[in-house]
Amino acid sequence: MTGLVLRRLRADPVLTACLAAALLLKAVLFVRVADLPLRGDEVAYRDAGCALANLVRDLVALRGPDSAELARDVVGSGWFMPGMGIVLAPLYLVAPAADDTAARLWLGLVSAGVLVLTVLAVRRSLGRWYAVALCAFPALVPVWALLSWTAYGDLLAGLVLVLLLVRLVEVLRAGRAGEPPTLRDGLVLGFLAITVVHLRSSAALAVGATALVAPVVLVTSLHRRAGRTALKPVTVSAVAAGAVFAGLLLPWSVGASVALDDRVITTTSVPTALANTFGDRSEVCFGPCDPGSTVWFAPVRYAREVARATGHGEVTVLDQMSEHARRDVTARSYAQDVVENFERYRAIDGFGALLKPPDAPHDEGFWQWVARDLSLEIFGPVSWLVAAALLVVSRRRFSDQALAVLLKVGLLALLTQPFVHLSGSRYWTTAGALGGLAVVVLARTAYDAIRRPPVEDGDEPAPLLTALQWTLSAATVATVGVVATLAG
Amino acid sequence: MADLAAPDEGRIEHRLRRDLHAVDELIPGPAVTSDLVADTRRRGAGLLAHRRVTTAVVVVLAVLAVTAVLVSPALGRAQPSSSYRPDLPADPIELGCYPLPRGLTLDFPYQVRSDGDLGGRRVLTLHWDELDAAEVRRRLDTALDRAGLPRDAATVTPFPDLPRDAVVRGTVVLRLPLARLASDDPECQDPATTKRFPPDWAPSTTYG
Repeated sequence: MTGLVLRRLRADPVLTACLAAALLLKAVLFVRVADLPLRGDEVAYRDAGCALANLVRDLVALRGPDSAELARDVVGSGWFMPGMGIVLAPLYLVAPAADDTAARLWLGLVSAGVLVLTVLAVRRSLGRWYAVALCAFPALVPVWALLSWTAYGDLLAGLVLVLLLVRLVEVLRAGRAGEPPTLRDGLVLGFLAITVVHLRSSAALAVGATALVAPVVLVTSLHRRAGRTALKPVTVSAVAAGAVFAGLLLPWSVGASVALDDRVITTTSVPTALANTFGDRSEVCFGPCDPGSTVWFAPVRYAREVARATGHGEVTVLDQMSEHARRDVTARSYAQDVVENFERYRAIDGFGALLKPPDAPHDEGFWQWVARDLSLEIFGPVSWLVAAALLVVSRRRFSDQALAVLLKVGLLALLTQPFVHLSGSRYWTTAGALGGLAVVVLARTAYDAIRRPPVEDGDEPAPLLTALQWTLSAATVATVGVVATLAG
Repeated sequence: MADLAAPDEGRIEHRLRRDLHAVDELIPGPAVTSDLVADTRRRGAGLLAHRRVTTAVVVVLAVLAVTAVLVSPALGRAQPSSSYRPDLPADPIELGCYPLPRGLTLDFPYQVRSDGDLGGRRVLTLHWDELDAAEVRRRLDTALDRAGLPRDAATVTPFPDLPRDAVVRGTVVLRLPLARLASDDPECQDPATTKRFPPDWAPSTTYG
């Protein structure tokens, strides 16, 4: 085995060095987070992990599950899907009293494993430079490495989304060569898609958008090569993907709907998020909510009181509260809030904001430099390159085009976050996983535009993919233009 | 029209074989050197090793997972904090921390928004649900009459521009005689339950 690993290392020293650097940075930064207790939403994920571990325990011991505990700690108020709870559950299964340092260690090991798997998958399918890019950005951004020791699912969702896109590129390439997707492809794609959603429910939009675009591209290119006969395997694998997705979403949707006595599909937090982001926060509870709490807990408490008095579901009440709080939203106020959200999205001082105990002074000196200044130094220029990548159109090779389209669809869908939700400093970590890859797409497009290499046989560009990219670029420019004009 | 001669399949095959042979001779076969043999053997061994390692890793992980699951009931239960879904405090009127005047009942669905003393009167603010304002007014009048309180002790204000399916429908403000704490339930000490909020409690409008 050692020989095998050594041969691999020799085969690609640049990538190996880059991956090793990313893992080393991560290991060094553990020193800073090891003794920080789980905070904020991390506590909810830990509770879900504990309750899920107890569920397994009960089932193995042939006891009835503790449904009250599951409702309280896994469903809670229906805000968080159970992805991170599932990630944490094995730890609490073997070590029920594990402390927060052990939890951070476990979370860091899992994120390291997923990073390595993603880098290898990217290298195999897209080539070494894409893999190197992924190791450099986001894996070498210090604040990303710090957040990889936390229980927030954003970062893992980004990596799994990359795995999903890579797999889709493989399927599209095979389709281009006249090879329809297999049942197995469908099963794997469905699994990866629902994993992304479970880890970070807001990434559902990115999954949905790619699920719309990819089959259209696939059917078009397959139809040209193999005619109508190709439609059957595409349908079979699409149905398989959909079945796996629905089958793994259903336990959550049903469980949350039963626990909250209302209809829940993914998350209940959207109406409150919209109200807090764009509405009048002093009107969310048809007037001010009870003082002494937060913009998230106080509205839920009010909705639960209404539900208790009337028998209506609390989610229905939260919807009505949100509509009430947003009744004075204008195009201008909305656009201004979106701009403000983007500013918050770009402020990636996640370490200071998310991990530090609320009463502790802000980090100074070295750690401050690492967590904020250095991270921003890297993040700033890369985010401009990613923005440029969203605007250029790849037109030389089908394989590049397929990746470019999927990356753009994924990135744009993730960047809708500031349009619907108060942005936090950790949200970029989902889109960030696609950022490094987008920079390589930009570089290849620029190189091709200058050198105009001959088109390779079987990799001729597809007009549909060119048209899709123009549409996406135009939509991006138009959206930015409209928001800037309205907010200005 | 003369019939075309039937193709002589034997001749075609012969011709094809000859051409193929000629082409074959143009393509040099790979020299089977000891290097090639060693390289092929090494690649084969590499693939085999890869498959063995993968299988071993999967088997070890599966055994570990099954063992963990099987021994887990003996290791004790994990203790979640449940802090993200605290129990909903009881309704302060039902709990009776600060009772309403005798005879005054609230016969409609409501939630208490705030309670407190202002200018020698107790001011109790509620939101009511589901019913229209006239119905709430009627029920309150009956209750106020029963309690011997003037009807203007209650103001009933529906929310403007209510959607038809609105659950919460308006505000009731009751101006009542002062009430004393009448229960030793520890919950009655918690402003979050009694809704008698201290003035220094910050509004829940900051992002956190």
